Amino acid sequence: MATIIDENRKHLRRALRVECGLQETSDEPTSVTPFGNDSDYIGLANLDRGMITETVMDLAGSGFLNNGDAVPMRTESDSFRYGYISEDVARADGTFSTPFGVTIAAGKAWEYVTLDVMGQHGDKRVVYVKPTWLGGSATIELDTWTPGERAYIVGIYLGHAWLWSNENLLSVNLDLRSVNTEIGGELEVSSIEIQAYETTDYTDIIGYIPTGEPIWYIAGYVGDMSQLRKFYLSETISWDDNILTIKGQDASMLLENVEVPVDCDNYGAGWDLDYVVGKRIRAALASITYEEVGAPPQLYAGSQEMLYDAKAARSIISEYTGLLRNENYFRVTYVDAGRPTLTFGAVGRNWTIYADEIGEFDVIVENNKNKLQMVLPDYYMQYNDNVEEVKTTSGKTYFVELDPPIPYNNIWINPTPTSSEEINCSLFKFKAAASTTYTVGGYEMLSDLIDANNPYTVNGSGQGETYRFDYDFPLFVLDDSQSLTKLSLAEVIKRSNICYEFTYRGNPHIQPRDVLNVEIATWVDVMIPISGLWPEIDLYPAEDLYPDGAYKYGRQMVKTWETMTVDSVTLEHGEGGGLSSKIRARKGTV
Amino acid sequence: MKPWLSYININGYDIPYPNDFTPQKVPNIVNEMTTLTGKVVADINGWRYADMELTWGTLLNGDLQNLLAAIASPSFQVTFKDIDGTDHTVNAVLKGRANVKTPIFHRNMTVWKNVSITLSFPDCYEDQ
Repeated sequence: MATIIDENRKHLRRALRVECGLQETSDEPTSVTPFGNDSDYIGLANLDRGMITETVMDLAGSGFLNNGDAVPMRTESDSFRYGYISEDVARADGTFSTPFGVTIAAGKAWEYVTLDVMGQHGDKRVVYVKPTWLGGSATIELDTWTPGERAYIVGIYLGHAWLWSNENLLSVNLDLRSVNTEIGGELEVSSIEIQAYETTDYTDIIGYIPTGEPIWYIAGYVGDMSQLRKFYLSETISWDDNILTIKGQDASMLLENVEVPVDCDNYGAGWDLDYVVGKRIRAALASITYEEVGAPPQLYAGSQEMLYDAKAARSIISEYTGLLRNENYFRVTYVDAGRPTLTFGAVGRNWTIYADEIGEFDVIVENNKNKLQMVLPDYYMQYNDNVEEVKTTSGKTYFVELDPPIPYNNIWINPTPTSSEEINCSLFKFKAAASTTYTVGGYEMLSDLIDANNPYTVNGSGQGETYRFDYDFPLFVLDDSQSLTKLSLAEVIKRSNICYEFTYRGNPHIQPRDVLNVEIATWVDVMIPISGLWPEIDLYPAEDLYPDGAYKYGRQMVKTWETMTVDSVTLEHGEGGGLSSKIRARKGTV
Repeated sequence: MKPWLSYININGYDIPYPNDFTPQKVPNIVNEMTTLTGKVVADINGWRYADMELTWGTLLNGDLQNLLAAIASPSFQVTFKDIDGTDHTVNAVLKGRANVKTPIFHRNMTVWKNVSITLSFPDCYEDQ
């Protein structure tokens, strides 16, 4: 089995297999009943199923929704988990003696149904059918196939679906980005652009395919394919000179213009790094569905007040993730865009790249002077109870907005309700436990009167206690004795300001936040005694400079190894099936 | 198609075999890159037929008319026998126009000397 690691070490690398697809989504309840299929056929595993992953086959019409879910038409226990195969082989004239096909029941009469059909020898055909719907179901019969072969339906999609592979792809360019390792900044969007050769005129269809429809991409060698990367159509498809152009972006595009409101917390004993950073990132991701894997450790003990300014979701994700180490702490994965993943304890994969696989190599030294700045708070807390009274009926739910609608801390309610929830810093929701008068109160947070001597320490009036606040960067305001402070601050300060940009043969497995171990080869001029000539030195014709013959000039290749963390990856599948890549990475494990 | 040793079929027209017709399979190498160590690496994506110049020392007037008709469109199919002895039909693109020299007259027939066309073959094949 060829692997990209092995192939990249060769002078001539075999062209990679690339497969992409676009399909209209449907979350309609759907069922499929095959007929004329071989229920005992057990040779499916031996079929060359091409590069389409099981996941894609299981999509079967529903596609992955914006939350990354895919609803299979067939159940896991179905013996035909990956398709239906015809009971008979096609006769000499290509027809089946037993009619073969599927009956689909759906909640909507789809104009098109797309079948992804394979032969026993791996040839694939995409069949578009305009079925006749009767009583919510349609029967699609596959009458003819390659003589002597069985037909094998591996995917059924309601609506249109396009599958492209090396045979009709002109180019596929991907920009995979994640939280960059710069200080501050915003989460960037990953994108894909596909150009495919298509002679059929679909202009009456493509104009109606809305943005947001799923696009998928996978590349590599059989048995060594990359992860299925998911994107969503970001522009209307264009078709010009027989070339379809499809542009997509990952799910983080949905965070455009999303702002997370001001928030405050009692940062109590036992709360941990997950709380400080994770909560804020979760709030930033709240408008899209994301997945969380693993549990964080308890790192912090103590008690603080935390106040978070309103901020763009993209900035929050970037800044807060930037506080964390790659190793053993949160890791946010956005490039598999169907569902951003918050992972705890997972380290990005490690890859080794040799100098023989690298083209141009640039070193970029950032000037980070003045980039780490303290951010003055917009609010401070004042212990003026602001109280609203609500007359309730038992069992009913009430929303209370404290007036004026400024941020409040420690919103409280009396008597105890059945349930309660702080919608934001001034809006409160509760379910009354009794028919009585409830009192909801909170402490106002005002935006002036900051302590001139210590802008991060404000005396709460009336209580005589000192409260500390955090504004955007928790690391600056927590007490130095807290392990969290040291951890986060140290991570930012020790981060290297050296970045690398290089062209690379390419590896579709690599994604942002992975760690690379890179061999860098540089040529240096050396002058050595003639008696000590090393065989690998490529001499200049420079003997004349040293007529005594004692020294000679030469060029020596020096190889060093650098560890770096990937910021962004550009993959270009160009004409002729070649793959090239550009990587930007920061020195060290970030 | 007429007997293969004497004719090649271009765009449906049988044309006498050109001089030294040797279709050559060359690897399709793309994406060359010079690495930090000075090595040149590339991707190999199957093989294709190398560009060929088809030349005819002499061509009868009728054959020349057929040839001109065959290459009237910029792309067409060419059928020939490869070294394996079987017919191969491949897509071809006319890269260079027919180069027609002065006619001579021989036994009341018009004969054209030193005719040549250059073809390139766009298709790439994965099998060997």
